[in-house]
Amino acid sequence: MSELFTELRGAMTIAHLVGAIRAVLILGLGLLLAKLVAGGVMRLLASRVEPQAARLVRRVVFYGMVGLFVAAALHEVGFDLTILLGAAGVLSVAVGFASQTSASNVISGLFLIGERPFAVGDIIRIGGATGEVLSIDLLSVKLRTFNNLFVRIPNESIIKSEVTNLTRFPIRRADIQVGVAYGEDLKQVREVLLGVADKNPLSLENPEPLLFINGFGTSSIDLQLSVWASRERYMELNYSIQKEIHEAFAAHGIEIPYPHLSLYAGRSTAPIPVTIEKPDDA
Amino acid sequence: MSPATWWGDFDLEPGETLGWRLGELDLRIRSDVREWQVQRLVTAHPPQEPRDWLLDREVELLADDTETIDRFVFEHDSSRLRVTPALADRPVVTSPRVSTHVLPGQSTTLFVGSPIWARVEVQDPPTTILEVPIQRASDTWFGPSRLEGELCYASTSLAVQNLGKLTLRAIRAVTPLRVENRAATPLRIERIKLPVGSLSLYASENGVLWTNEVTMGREADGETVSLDFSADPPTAGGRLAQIQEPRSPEEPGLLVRAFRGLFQGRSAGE
Repeated sequence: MSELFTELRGAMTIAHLVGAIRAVLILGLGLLLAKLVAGGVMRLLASRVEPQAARLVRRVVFYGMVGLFVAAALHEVGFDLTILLGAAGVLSVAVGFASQTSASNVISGLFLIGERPFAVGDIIRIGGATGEVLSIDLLSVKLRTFNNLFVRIPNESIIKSEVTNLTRFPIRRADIQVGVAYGEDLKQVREVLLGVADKNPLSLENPEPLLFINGFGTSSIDLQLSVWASRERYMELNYSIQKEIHEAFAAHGIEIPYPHLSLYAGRSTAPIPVTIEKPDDA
Repeated sequence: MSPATWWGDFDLEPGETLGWRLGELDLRIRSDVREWQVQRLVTAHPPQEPRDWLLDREVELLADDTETIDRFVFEHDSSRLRVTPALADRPVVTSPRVSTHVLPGQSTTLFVGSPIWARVEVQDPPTTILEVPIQRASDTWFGPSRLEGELCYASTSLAVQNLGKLTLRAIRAVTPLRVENRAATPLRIERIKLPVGSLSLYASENGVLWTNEVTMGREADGETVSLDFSADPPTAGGRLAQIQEPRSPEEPGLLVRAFRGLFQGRSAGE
């Protein structure tokens, strides 16, 4: 054991010790400086660019500076960086093959940050997931769905697929589908529906509500009432107006029909006789 | 003797309840030990004209209707309450019931109505605990497109020239709006955005609410409108006292706005 210590003491010259101390100092100072500069860059960019872009620049600045100081520290303790760089070249080819997906995600992430189809806090729909954007990172976008699930979507798939931003514009249109029986007076139905939209304070007075006839369905005349609301009150309007339509139809005796099925007995067009009997009192 | 106005300072002993029936709004406030309880209801039987409000001391909270009650709790007892009228917290878009045209080189003063909010403040220290619309105005969008614009309140008004035709009320404010058309084409008024946040509220001795006069002058180029808020109470209202400062006062000086930013036609909902 004592021989080992003697050997080590012999190998570690004063010069090595000084180099190691300097390397530690460079590393410590570098970390501090990188943190300060990255913080400064973040503060500088905070009011000028999107938060996620500022965070990205901060990370690049921080890790770039840390990398430089690590290289300087290694140089101090006697590592030959040219060999390291040569090895890094070979390694980067191997790593490049291994990290194709990650690199694709990183590049997609940069495009996403540049294109800005959505920002942190927006509600977006991608594929089957709808939720609030929590963060836009280099590799993925994180969502919180309305039932409080965490969804991580790789940037590459976002770039490739259709993304709907539900909160991009300040007002939204709710298209309420409603069917009425064929026997109803469409003029009265129109008055009732537009009256409901007019009375609902969340339904914008302008753009004006519109009523469309979408077609003659199998059991009903299919109508669409299109009403606008501010994006913040959209869900509230969507619920309240459907409830109010149901109440108004009930009050005015307007029927929302169930699916109808007419039965014919062979060649005879006379309806099948149906008798309703009272159940026996047991 | 009943008071001349529905606003002012009110002293309530613990356990006492005071009710305001303001148009369709039924507001009940109960004083309790170190707390105020406020209930907001909508009544189907508003007080009838000419006096469309009522103060009721023989009223109780509907304790079962808990969804409509808010409690405001304090460290110290406070018996004084201030209830005041206030203008809307967003601009009000007024649509005259009939499209109005101001011919080239002509000007007119239209009297337009605006919805009023009831503001409830407690004292020591003065704190606004609640603002409630007397009549919930419908939301509306005012802007050049579906992407740009501002969320406002919609209001329909007779926009009469003759004040005698207007029913002056204590639950709606009247704004004298001077429209001057200096352009060579007629000015069609279908929707006007009234920036009520920049207006003061005045009250006459008999409790009618007014705002200061607003002048909108369409310039000769037809594309810009100069906007001016009078610093004095409107002369049409007689003797008036200021009861509310503007929410967001404009800097003194002439304001110029885009024509489409203040006047607009209706747009279909597509």
